[in-house]
Amino acid sequence: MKKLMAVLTCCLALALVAVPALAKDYPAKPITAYIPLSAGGTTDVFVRTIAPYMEKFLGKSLILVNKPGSGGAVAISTLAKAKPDGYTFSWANLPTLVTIPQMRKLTYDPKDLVYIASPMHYDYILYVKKDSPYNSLKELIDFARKNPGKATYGTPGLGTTNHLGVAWLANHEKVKMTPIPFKGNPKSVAAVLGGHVVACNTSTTASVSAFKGGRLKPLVIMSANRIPLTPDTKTLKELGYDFSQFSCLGAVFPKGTPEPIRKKIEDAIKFALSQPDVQKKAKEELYVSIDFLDGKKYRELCDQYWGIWGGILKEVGLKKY
Amino acid sequence: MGDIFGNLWDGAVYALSLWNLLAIVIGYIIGIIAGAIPGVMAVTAMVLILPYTFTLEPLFAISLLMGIYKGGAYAGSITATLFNIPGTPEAAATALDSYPMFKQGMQKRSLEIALWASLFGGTVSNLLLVFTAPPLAEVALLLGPPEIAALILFSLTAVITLLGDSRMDIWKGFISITMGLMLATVGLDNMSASRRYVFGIEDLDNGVPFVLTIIALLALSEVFIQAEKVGGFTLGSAAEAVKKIIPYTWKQRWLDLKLCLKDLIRSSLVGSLLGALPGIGATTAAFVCYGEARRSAKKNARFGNGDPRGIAAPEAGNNAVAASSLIPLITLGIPGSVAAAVMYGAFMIQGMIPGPMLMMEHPEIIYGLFVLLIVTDFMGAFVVALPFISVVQKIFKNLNYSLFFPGVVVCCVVGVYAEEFNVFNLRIFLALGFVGYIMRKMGMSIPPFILAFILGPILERNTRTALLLSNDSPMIFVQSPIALVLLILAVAALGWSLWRKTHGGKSVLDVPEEFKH
Repeated sequence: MKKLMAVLTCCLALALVAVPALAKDYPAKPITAYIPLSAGGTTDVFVRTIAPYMEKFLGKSLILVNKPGSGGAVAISTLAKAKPDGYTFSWANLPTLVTIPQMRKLTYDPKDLVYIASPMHYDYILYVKKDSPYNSLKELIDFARKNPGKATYGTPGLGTTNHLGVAWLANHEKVKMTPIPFKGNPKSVAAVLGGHVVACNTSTTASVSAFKGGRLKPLVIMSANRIPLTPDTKTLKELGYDFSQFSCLGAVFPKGTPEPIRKKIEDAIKFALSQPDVQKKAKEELYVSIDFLDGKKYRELCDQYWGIWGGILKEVGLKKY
Repeated sequence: MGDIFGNLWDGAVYALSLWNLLAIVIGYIIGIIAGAIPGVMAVTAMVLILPYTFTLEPLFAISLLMGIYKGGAYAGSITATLFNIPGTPEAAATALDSYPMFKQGMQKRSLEIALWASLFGGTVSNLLLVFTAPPLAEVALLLGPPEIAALILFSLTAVITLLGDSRMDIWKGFISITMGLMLATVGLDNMSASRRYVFGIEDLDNGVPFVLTIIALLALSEVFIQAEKVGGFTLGSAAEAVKKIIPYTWKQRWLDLKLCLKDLIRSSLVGSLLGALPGIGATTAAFVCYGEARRSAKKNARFGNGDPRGIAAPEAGNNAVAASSLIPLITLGIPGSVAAAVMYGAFMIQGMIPGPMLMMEHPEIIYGLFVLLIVTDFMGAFVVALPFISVVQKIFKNLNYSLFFPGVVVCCVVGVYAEEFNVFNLRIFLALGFVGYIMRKMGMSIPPFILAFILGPILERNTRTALLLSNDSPMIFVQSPIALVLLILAVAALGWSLWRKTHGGKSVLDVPEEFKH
């Protein structure tokens, strides 16, 4: 027993010594960061914009790895298995932490993860093709009412808020619309352009090019506020629905990552966001809303939306866990 | 049309600076080295370089990346020719004929055919990008999930020509395809994230990694096969393996060009079209082009035994993908391939969103890029690749196999580990290397396995998406005219190849035993 105590004490002492030492030297090598959605989407572009400033702050490079699939769950399940040594973190879109765990059994529990911070939230627009016969949300809903299931809409994956937002709408209007999951927003936009789906609910950036090129018609802003890209398009709330689609981007570490390391990345994110360059780029080129939440607030918000999105999941019959 | 030339001139004035040309050369050198090393992909090199482009001039950065991309697309054929170890998966089809040709002492010929075919395919694709990008992008958009699924099925039939001739061989080929498709289903399923065939091993959740599988089957298993020959402590040198080196005369060059011209043109067009479609990629294009060249060849063809068309077709095809995969990016702002996504990132870093608006607002940048693309192929071929292959040939003369193959294994292992920094992957790598070795020993063809492994997930995803769109009615595949035509072609191609193989009397495709992998 004495021996065991001695060993334990030594371990504890080592741990106490090791953590600050680790944090002080951290990062000693490049850090891998997963991006949960495919290249060319808002998440990808935003992360690639702030990454250089984070690298500047950290003094080491970030290896950005796109791991799309399953609305982002592939990236987080990979992350959950990574060593909690601070050298692997993942950007996480809200669904991977809030909605997907309520829909299917996963290899990770989002409540175990270490929440680093959230740099921004997304804006969403429901588009149809430019020459589509539907000129307003009402006309699209009417079409869906007359042709159950024929109103298809592209999403970047089942259980993404893009999917759930429209699902809520369809459920609220008591019409049947069919969600079609694609591998990321750009492919969902391409499917609308090609006429393979009727509409798509996409985050802003992925649609900027096609919209400005005059190939898309916005019907409604799904998120809370009007956006500079389509200043005349009304939000769901303005159209009389008591609902808006919320999702943010954050970063998470695997369970057991030491606090000083978390703080360091949080600071790196904060540092990157404070750059006038980043702010200008976010607003004028990427069309996302910078909205910094520290680890604690980020976690609280996720807990809060666990309930809100969970309720919608239940309404649309996707809640399993 | 005049507009395009005017824009090209402006683009040339804007883009053709000494620095940009230097960037192309540096990029091409990096690309050729990355592409020639089995285990290191050109795209990996691009991703590694990308962060450093932040402080560079836009066109310098983009020239550098284009150089890497193009250099990598060509370089896989070098090791494919010299060692039967394709440096990149898209060179796997090239190896089928370039290695046999090399073994007959015509290494200069096979290396040069690959180089000129790459240049040809790349240039055709560049010109298509400049002159027909908007219509090609529209065609690509028209192909939705049911059409892509049908197209993939049709592409899979290209492997029939790779299966060998006897009934036994054909069955082995089908087993190989099935194994490839099955291996591709391992992991979290891409649409609903259910776990498939992981046997409780969490490391398998992400599936069997793509690069790892390709390297294990193409490179590691070949090393095992070669190790057998080198074994018994006889330190054979490479030069002994090839008895005499036959020079490549100008007359021979001219004859080869005449022989290959039709295949070069067809492969360049097919490669460009496949490249414009999202997610299909260079490897598929190479195999489809190889299959088409072989299917259309006359009876006296020496495919599998060093036919120049067997090198020219896949090389022209896989290099044609490089430029045309940028078409959806430039015309619609949608990156269609991993490399295009990296280019997207490069544009973003420079504060530009690629797409129709960039074309309108800054045509000089887009047309500058076009000019640089065209220049890249020529500069790469003449300034970098040509000296490079002559150096490689010199090194090769004194190369000692017993030192070289362990080197290959080291490169492979480093490449596999660097991909995800996961030791578990090394175990899968080794296991798959042995699977490949056993397959080769049993006379089973590796390329069908690889093609099925690459195309399987795309086929699955598009089939399932199509069925979602049609509310689970398989009629969607018949109602779309494009899909219907492709499906009929697929069935016809399958039926015709099988009939020709089993009823063709004397074997048309004379494949010697040792080249059957």
